[in-house]
Amino acid sequence: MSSPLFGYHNDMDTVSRREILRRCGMGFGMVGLAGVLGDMQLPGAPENRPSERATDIHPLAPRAPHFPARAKQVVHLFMNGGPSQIDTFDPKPLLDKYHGKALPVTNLRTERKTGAAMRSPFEFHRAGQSGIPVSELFQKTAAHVDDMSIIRSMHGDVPNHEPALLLMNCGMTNQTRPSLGSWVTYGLGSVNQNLPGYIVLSAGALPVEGQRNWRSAFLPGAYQGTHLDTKHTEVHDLVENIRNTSFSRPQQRSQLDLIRKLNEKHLARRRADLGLEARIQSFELAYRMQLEASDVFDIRREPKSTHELYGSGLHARQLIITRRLLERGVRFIQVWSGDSQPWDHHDNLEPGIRTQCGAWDQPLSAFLTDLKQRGLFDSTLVIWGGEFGRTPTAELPALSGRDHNHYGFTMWMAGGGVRRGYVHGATDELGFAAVEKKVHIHDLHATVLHLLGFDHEELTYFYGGRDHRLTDVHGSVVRELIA
Amino acid sequence: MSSPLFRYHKDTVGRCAIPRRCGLEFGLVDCRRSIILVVMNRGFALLLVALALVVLCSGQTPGANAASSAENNWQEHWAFQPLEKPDVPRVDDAGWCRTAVDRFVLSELAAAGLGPSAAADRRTWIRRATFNLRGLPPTPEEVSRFLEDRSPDAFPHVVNRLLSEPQYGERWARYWLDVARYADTKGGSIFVKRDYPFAYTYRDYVIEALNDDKPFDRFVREQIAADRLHAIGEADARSLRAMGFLTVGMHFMGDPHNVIDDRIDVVTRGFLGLTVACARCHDHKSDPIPIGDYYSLYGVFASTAEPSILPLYEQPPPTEEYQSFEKEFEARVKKMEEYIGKKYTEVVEGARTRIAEYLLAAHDAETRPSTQGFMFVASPGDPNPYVIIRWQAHLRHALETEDPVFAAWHAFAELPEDDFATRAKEIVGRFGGRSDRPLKVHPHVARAFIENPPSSLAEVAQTYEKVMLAAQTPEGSSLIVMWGLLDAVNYEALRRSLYGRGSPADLPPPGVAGLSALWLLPDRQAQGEYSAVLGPVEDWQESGPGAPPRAMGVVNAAVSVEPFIFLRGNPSTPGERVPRQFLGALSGERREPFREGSGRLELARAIGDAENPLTARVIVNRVWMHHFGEPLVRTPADFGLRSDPPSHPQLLDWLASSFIESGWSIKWLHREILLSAAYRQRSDHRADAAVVDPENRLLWKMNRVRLDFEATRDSLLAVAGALDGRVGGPSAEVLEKRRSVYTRVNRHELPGLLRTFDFPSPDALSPQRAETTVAPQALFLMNHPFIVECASRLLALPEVAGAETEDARIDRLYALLFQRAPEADERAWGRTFLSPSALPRPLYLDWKFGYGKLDSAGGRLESFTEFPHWSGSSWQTAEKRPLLDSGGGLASVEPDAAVVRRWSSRFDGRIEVSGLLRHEGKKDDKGKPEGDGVRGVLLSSRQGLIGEWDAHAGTAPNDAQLLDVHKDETLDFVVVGKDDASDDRFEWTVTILEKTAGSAAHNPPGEWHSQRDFRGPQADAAVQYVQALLLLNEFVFPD
Repeated sequence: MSSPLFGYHNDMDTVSRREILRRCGMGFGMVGLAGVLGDMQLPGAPENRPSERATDIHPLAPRAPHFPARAKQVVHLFMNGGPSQIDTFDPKPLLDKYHGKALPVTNLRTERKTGAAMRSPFEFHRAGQSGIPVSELFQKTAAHVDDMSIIRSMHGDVPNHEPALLLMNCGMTNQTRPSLGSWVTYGLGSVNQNLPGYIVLSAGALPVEGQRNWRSAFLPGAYQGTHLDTKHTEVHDLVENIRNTSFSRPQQRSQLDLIRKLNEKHLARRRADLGLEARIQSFELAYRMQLEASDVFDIRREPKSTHELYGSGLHARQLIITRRLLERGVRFIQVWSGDSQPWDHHDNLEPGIRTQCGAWDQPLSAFLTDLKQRGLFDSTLVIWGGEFGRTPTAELPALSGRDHNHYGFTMWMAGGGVRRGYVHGATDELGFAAVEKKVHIHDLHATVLHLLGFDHEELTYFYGGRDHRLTDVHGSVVRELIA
Repeated sequence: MSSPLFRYHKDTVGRCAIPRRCGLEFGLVDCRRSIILVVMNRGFALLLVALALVVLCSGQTPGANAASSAENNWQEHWAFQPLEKPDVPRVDDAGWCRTAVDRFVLSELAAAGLGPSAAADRRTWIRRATFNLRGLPPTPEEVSRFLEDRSPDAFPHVVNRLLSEPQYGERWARYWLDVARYADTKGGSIFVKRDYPFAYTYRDYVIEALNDDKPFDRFVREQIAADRLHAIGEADARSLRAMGFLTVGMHFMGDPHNVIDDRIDVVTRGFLGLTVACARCHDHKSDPIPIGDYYSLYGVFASTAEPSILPLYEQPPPTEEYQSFEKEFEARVKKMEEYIGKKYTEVVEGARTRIAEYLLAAHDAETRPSTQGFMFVASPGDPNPYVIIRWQAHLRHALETEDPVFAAWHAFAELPEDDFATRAKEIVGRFGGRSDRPLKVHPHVARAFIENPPSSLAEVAQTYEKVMLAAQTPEGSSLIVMWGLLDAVNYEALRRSLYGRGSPADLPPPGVAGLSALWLLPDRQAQGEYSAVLGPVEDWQESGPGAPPRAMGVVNAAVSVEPFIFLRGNPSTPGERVPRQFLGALSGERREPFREGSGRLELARAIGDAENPLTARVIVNRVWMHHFGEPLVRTPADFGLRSDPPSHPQLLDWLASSFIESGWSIKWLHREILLSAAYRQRSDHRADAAVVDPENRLLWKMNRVRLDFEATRDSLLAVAGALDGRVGGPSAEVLEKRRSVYTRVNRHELPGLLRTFDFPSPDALSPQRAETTVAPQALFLMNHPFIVECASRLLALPEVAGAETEDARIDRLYALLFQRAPEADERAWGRTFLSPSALPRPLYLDWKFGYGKLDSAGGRLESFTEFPHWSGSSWQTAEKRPLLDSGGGLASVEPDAAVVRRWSSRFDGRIEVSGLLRHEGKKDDKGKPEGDGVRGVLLSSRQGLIGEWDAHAGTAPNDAQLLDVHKDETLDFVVVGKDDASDDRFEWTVTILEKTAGSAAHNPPGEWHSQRDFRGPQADAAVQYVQALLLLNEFVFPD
């Protein structure tokens, strides 16, 4: 066996072209086979082409997209529960006039009955060169507003958490479909084979809908998000099976050496077999993953200056880890605000949202600064937002919180290929519904895939008698959001 | 509001709350937008709307909608050809052939200029066959017996033996459960329990059916209609469990359209290899499945209900316990039914009496964006949101049909608020015949408005309420409209809006047509009340004392649904009516509507029919796939026009025909395949053949297939002698010791371990598993205690532990795992690994964890015992006190139970010892630290007392001190509680650094950190060696 440790590129010549064509519709018709497979060499010497499925044997081998990408990695900061746009990025001064009174129109119907208008208790300040107004709650994050595209005209389909979460993550409210991160890892593979390609960070109990939010559905399990409970700080608590507690690392190394020796003897008797070879390598990979993981998740290795920049607390820890994962080539990282639905401010909005934003503001600002300093910003797409926003009206009887609102809400994107210092679209004067340059969640998905180099209509997978895609039959790329 | 301020009105209104012919506006490409509307529905609004509209549209003539979508010549597609048994081909090398299968394989190989591979040796074959049928390795004895059996029946003997074992059914049931999207939970449910407590009874049915070799056509029929077969004496009660095939699917938060879709999908892809669910919104793009066929089957499953009390499949003995179970169960069910009945009456009555409220709410909803698919949280007492939608539909229908009852309403509803009274008078003026633009208005309505012209829409609504309530008569309170009994035509017209079929109040009673009761409960209070009566029913049925197991059955609904096509899949846009009937492409001339109830039995018979060209082909292909690793048709759940033709079409047809002739015997099929020469081939790569047929479609060799998750896990347990062999019964958690087929499949949170090992998503049918190789699989195998435990148990087996020499032990292990002797180098490598000098002893092994008796002077340890129990994170005694963990521990006040962290020196030299003893000091109610703290003592076995520290709600640093130590000298870090036993939790971290000078110093010098070095039980080299063998490719890749 002379195959190098990172033998993926070499092995790719053994791919069955037909099999790829059949199952993995990555738009061959549009851009041609060679372009799609990128650095995968096709075809190789025929005798080295036993029947194996490329995506099965090396599901995470890096692959090139349809066209040159603006972003290579994605960080999705998920503000689960539905952050209020009216108190963060979409100021509505007119609400002051109606505060405590009925709106001059009937309220749009959301999950619960809402009554009187409720003004934002927070002040907005213009920030940056662009002068985009940002709430006092995101004072530090506002420093980066010149690098963001703020989409004020997002809209979805339903005002209930469960289907809205699935729509945002998987493109469908109810049926089982792969998540955005799964599609991206399926399309691009991952650069670092020692770590999962798609990592999900959340702390404590799972968010609503749990692991369905990062499922791979009918795509192979390797494209499912790997969930790490960031309540923990020790690597062996974070990553399953990452440490052997029964014997030492040198002992394990010598055990793996024995396995390798016996496996190679076994393989030599059986001539070419990708399955056997891949499994031999998987142990080496796993061993390296142990080393890599104990490094990447140990944020104590960061200098004091990093910790000072990010501050302390859960989100600081999560975002330092995120940056370290990005540096090591992990493709897609999703960070959740917390268990259950921390942004679900039906009541006590004022203290509640202050706490949430307070927990995020410094680490988030630090994270963006850090990415810029390290030259990661331009190749990383950062997405911020929840599953929907909130109503400009309060739930009865008290004027203390807002209901779910999918008619209009705000998300922002920054980094790889995203237009800078730009506000896209608008909600009506009260902040209830998107009215200008509306962006549906399907459009957002199409745009994200576009930034990663994919035509969202061509990134498909054949299952159950038809080709499936993230955007189903919807979605258009929002060109204005692209730099 | 005409202000530009509120632009969303203009922009969003008209996106139709109840679409007129919604869907059309999106154009063909966009047609699936409407399906989104469908799938969003979680509150049954759509079904109710659909039912309303279906009735309203009942004037439409039933249409056959037989027009085929497929413009191609689907009749010529191979899969639709009638099954005919082909002649077995003549081949040159007849001597190679063992069963008819081989002649087909060989003739295809010969046509490509290829020959088969040599036969594998007997050991390889019996391993292959045993893993294949049993999912577990053969025992060494089974292999040697077979190697010695030179009789001509040796091979069939093995196959028959394997097929007669119960493990066969367990192994093969799992394959079928992939098709049946088996799970133990609903995945998205609301106000009902997440679990399917009796899903396992379906699994038991599948295992038994396979073990009994139940004819496959019966297996098919029972899974669709066992209740009907049982009713006519064609199936026993135990077969009622079969219908779990329909019911173990996703729950979709109770959305009936998706539940029905899921059932159509599993039945058609599962049995027929047809993707009928693709025809939900439009005719199938490539296959001869018009949208009408989908809705014909929709009608079958919409006419199928799940009873709230699941059927029993065996009569429990009439014990006292069971009788009291029954009594209590009935009482609880009655309570639930009463509650639902009360709510139902309330909503129905409300729909008829709160007319003004509903009219205004419906009007209001019309001017706002659609709320289809929302789950509302209403306030108690609010109009029911779903009835509002029905009122909307009713009003819209009235508008379209120019119904005189609501003509006035629609005219008034157009008026602006600010000029209402004046404009209303103009409208009233148009009542009757004298106007230029007369309005045809119902006379009672007209009279009311002429007498009392309205000044606001609210007044209009009030007037309507008055007029319509006045039309009610005593006999009108019955649920059914007595058409024609009322002589006053005018009254009848009014009453029709309140009592007519399809009127807003014509709500199907809960339980009909799979409808759950959720729509009755839009407010939190009602939901709470419902949970309070439903929970006890579910609990009792599942686990009340004496609760018998039940079948997850279905029944025909009291009323069958005459389905309409939902244009673009949208239930609110019904198109033509279609009968409940079988697929057109498979019915030929004989197509007739189903007559019996839902039609499930007729559907079951049509699918399980020997004349059906697909059923036998599809199952034969699946069975073939699980023998050869690759199917003949590469898309096992899709035999449509987009699928590849079979690699061996004649073979597929021959097998399918012969399979039917065998009496649909799956075991016959296994024998035919397993005893073939094709199956007996070696699995090695051949460069010459790979040039011609790189994917081995022609079977010039046997495919080498990795064991799947279930077989891997079960084999590990089996060789370790740890497998719990009980057959059947409720599910177990994944790391318990039962066979993997019994693993509880939680659809909501599928264990990551399963997904890591390619276990398919249970949300929909899985045609074929992926076979990925990823590092997390290796991490599990390398590091999970499960594997170490298997290795330890294997070592402890008498035949292994009793081996007299190291070589004998290695030989025994190879026999158990691989059923062969190790080769010389394999044995030698093993010996080297096991030799004690192979590795330096890790430093952390210098620590021991135990307890002992500190003498009264506190200067000596009189006894030391290592802790017997490891909790996963701490060492402890059976009493869990005292204990030690990585940072510290829990001290005891008992004089003979001082906790001891012991370090032994491995050298003569000098060390530096430092540490920090800490006592947190939990505060009591008064804010004072509890207890009196702990005392730490450092003792040397050679030098006696070295130091002593007390800590109570504070820290006691142990300043660094230099000590000379001798080899095997021990340092004991002892902690005792003082007089008060409360709060004796402490932290004590210690560092020992080697400071030996000169030649005796180690390089690098040793460093011990009590926290970092803390470990549970350590595996010795033998365990590591056995684990290595368990991880070998040879263990999971039978050749």
